[in-house]
Amino acid sequence: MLYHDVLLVCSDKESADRSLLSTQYTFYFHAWVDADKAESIKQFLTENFEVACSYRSAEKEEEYPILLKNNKFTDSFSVVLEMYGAPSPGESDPMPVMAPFYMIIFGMMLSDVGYGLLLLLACLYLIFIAKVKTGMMGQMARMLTLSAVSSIIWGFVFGGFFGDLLTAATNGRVNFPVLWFDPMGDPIKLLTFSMFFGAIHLFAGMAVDIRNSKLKGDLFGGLVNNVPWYLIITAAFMILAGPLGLISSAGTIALLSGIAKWMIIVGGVLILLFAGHGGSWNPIIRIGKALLNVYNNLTGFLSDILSYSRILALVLATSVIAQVVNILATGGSGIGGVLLFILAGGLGHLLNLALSGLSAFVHAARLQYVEFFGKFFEGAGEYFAPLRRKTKYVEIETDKLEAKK
Amino acid sequence: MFLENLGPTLTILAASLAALFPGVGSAKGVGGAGEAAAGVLAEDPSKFGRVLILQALPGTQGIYGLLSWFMIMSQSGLLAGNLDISWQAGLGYLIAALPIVVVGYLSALYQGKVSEAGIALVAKRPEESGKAIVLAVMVETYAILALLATILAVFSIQV
Repeated sequence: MLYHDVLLVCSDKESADRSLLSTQYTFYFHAWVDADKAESIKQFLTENFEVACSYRSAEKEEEYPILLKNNKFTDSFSVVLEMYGAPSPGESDPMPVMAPFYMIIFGMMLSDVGYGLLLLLACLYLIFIAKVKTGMMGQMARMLTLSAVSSIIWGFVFGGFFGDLLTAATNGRVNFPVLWFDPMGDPIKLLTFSMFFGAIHLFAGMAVDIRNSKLKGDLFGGLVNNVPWYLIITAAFMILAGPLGLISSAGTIALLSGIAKWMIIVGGVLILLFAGHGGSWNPIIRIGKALLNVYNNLTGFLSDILSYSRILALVLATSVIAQVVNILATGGSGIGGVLLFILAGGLGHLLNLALSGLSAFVHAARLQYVEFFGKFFEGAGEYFAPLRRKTKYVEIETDKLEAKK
Repeated sequence: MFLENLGPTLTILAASLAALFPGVGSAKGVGGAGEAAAGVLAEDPSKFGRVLILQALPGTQGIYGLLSWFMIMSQSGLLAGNLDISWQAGLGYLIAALPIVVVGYLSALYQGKVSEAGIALVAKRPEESGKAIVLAVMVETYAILALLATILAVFSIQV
């Protein structure tokens, strides 16, 4: 295994060597470096070796590699982005917006105080006792630690502690407190909330799209693409608030739908005027583009927002499986009952934690990849991958190696 | 008389079908993906974690089936021993179960195929396992929609 690593490092070195232009006594190469470290690298090279060295910053159209810089909280979730790809050069870093949404959605999907605590303990064990800090496992452990905290919080909100363990074990004498409402009792409420939350998530994605358009020098294009849909989607929710039973007073419903009508009209006019922004001025082409834009976005937003209904499905799946486990575990009596409780309850809940945890991880990621990223993300970049001793079985503690590149 | 208990009978039929078909579909999907995974592991056992996740993905339809079973049994009161269910309600449960029965079964099969292909992808490029997972999850959306259709209908049926 050690030999495998030695060979791996040698082969990496060889392939890097091949990209150098060299004669018998000289060699020449150019490489990308972290902009903040460029000056110190130049100093290091000129002080220690006989070299000529210069640097410049990247041009706008150049395909430079991506190195994300975030604070510790945001950085913990970058493993989710890395599974998808890297932002294109010139695109802004989606992590600061994505990280909190991922944490909230994961917590909702695995909303159980007991499961959250177990997951949190497992991750803390991995980080602090098993010292798994690097590589995929380390990143996942950090990400799941934060997500588990979110699970615990949402567990209190929806009143889940290993499903309904307290109620089942005490025959209904003790109930776990519910801070907001029990999804099993009122699934429609959670369905509405999921989709409303989804709309907020999509709105955040559209805001990033406006920011990216500004970075590319087309702020106006970003605004006319997104503002009409802010208006139309908000209006749709205002109209639906009545039929869904969120507000009951007839006057408010009439007032809201009156305002909503005008928001839709303004949004529609904006689309009609600017959907062909930057293209031909031919009115027929522009109307065609506007119709296409409306069709694409209407179907797109409908399916995107409906997709958040998976939050309800996963909440119910987690808590119902837990309840089935509890029914099985509390079936016995006497000594056998205690044994059954420990064995069936322990195994069942561990299995449910593994399955529901996997589902929450995967589906929270999907909502980012397909729905959220769909609003703005190009993701055609490549990550900054400096030459380093990339080993599989042994770990080398390095400080100065990084600076050498 | 058989007809006296038609309501509870139809209800149990609905619940059983809801647990049965998605369960069979998931077993097939997970089974096929497991065979593909074993082939990859023969070459490189260190990929176990990655292929295990991919193998587990088509298993969720079985869970949704059990979820629907539980919802039908508890909403109708059968789980608590209530046999006083009208035949109309029983028939309603049977029809409400159709989405998860059909879509749960078929989507598990198709998701299993995407998982198998994803496992082949991981064999060549283990660092891209995240993308393989997302591809498989795209199929699951329809099982989730069917589950919601079934559950929301079950909630609205009066016994």
